[in-house]
Amino acid sequence: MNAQENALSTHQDTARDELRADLFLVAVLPLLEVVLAERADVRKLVIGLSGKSQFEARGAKLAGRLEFDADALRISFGSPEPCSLHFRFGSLRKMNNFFAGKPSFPWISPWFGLSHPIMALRTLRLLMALQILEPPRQGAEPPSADERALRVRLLLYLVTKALERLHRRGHGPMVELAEDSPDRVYQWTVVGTDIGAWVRMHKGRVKSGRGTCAARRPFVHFVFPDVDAAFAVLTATSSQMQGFRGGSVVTYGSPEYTRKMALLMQEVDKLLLEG
Amino acid sequence: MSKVRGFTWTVADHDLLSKIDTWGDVLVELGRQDPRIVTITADLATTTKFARFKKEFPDRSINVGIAEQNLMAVAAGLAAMGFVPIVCSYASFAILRAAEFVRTDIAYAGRNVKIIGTLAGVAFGQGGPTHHSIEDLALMRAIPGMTILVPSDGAEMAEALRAAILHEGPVYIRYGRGTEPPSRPDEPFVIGKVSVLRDGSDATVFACGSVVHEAVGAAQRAASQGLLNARVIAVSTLKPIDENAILAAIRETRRIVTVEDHNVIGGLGSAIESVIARAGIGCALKKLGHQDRFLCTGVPEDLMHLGGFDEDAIFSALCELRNIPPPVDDDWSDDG
Repeated sequence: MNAQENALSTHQDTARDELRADLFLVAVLPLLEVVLAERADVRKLVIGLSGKSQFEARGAKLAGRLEFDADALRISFGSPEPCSLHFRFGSLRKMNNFFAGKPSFPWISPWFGLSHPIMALRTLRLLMALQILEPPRQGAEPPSADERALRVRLLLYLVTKALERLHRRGHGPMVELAEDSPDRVYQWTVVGTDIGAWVRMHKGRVKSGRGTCAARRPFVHFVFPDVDAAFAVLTATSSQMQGFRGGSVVTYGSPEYTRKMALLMQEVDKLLLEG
Repeated sequence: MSKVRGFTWTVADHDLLSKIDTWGDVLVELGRQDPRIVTITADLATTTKFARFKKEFPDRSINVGIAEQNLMAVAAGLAAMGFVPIVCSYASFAILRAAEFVRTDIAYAGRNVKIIGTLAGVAFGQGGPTHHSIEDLALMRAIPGMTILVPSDGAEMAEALRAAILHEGPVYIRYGRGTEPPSRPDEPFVIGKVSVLRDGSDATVFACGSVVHEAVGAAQRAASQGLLNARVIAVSTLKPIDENAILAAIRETRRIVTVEDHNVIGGLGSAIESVIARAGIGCALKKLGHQDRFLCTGVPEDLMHLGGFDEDAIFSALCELRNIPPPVDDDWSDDG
């Protein structure tokens, strides 16, 4: 089997693969814009580029795009379309493995990416910037304060958008939670910072956002006393229950719905990391 | 996570989830200061926060078993001997099952007993209507000499407990879950005084207990949407009631909403009604709470919505009193 056949070999994608791909393309990939806004070294990677890189899998209806234009980067997603560069995978599962940091390689076209070599290289380097989302390795140097804050911000944006997408994709427990829900907001806040994110649901509709929800006060409010506490809980250095006990996260509102939401957060984590 | 699964989630583990549920610690502190304090429970030491007291003062902690009438009788006896008994059980059992003992042994005899009814209203909604306590305030209000405190959150509960210990005579403290966001300013609890949580001139919301923060939320929403400016008053002492402050609010706003996790007959709504009637003031009044019916089994917040005494219901009632159609916030567009 040659390299192209290997990259494009197919197998039957499951609904879970589709769900994971949705999370990677719609919830994870757009976080690059946030990283770009925060880190100068990453911003350099988009300077002077113009064109689009697209991540797609054979037969899949959803693709993610990095749109470079005038030293800026915009992330979009939708049906596959003609782009400057295509990073093609044989299946959604392979694409998911690639985004999850597991060995999986795309077929880059046209011309193995040689038509736009700098864009190809920088696209991959940009994706590497998202490694900040990966759980801290054992024995690794603790990240700096800025990096911890960025990671907390990204994780909260990620999880809230992922919850919205779970609902959109018909994920059972999320649909059940939203189905008969009165207008309710689940808010996450890190005290002393502008870091926050929310999920709002009402009668079978779900929407997520960044910052503080202005429409309503929270039905359940997860309050992290500071970035370090949020970092410990969100990167699973301490479990949610340890967090509750130790005061790393204080919740206001229904304990039952707090638990439901905590379990859904764990489900997102599992989907992204374990597959 | 297995420990937190299932039916007992609300009662067994909710204290893990909230750092504001501190009255168990305050009780220990009070126990150190006053050796007369004893705690008596009816087989609910853990869920009623007495476990911490029992650990430090095992010889001042009594468990009478599942026998609420005995609970009150033992408390009355200890009070007669000079102790300050604090009894605690679920509100539905502490009051309904032992009502005659509360009246005769404690109130009639003027015993210095502090009764704490926890998980009042639908705070233990999962237990079903047998465990919903929607009549306790009506019963306690009708007992002569009984002081009734209804704190709105865990922090206020701790302050109410301090005030109750200092007060000579029988006190009933009605308490929900303690997971509510703190609504009350950080100030000492004064028996017989209301707290004005939010000023306003278009209407007044009187609330007590676990729905106070819902009232604050509704008033804030109404103001932020430019609809009306509602005053919110927490009536944390239902008896003796702060007539002067209540009358002032009624005179100044003339549109009144009362909110409680209790039957609208006999509780806060009835108490406010009595104040209005006695003063002969004309005003518009809406009483939110259990509309003289039993609710089903469910999570407390869902039951509050179903029963029509959550933030949405209060918001709608305020709009109705001002003849404003409640606006529907229906922007569900997103970038997905």
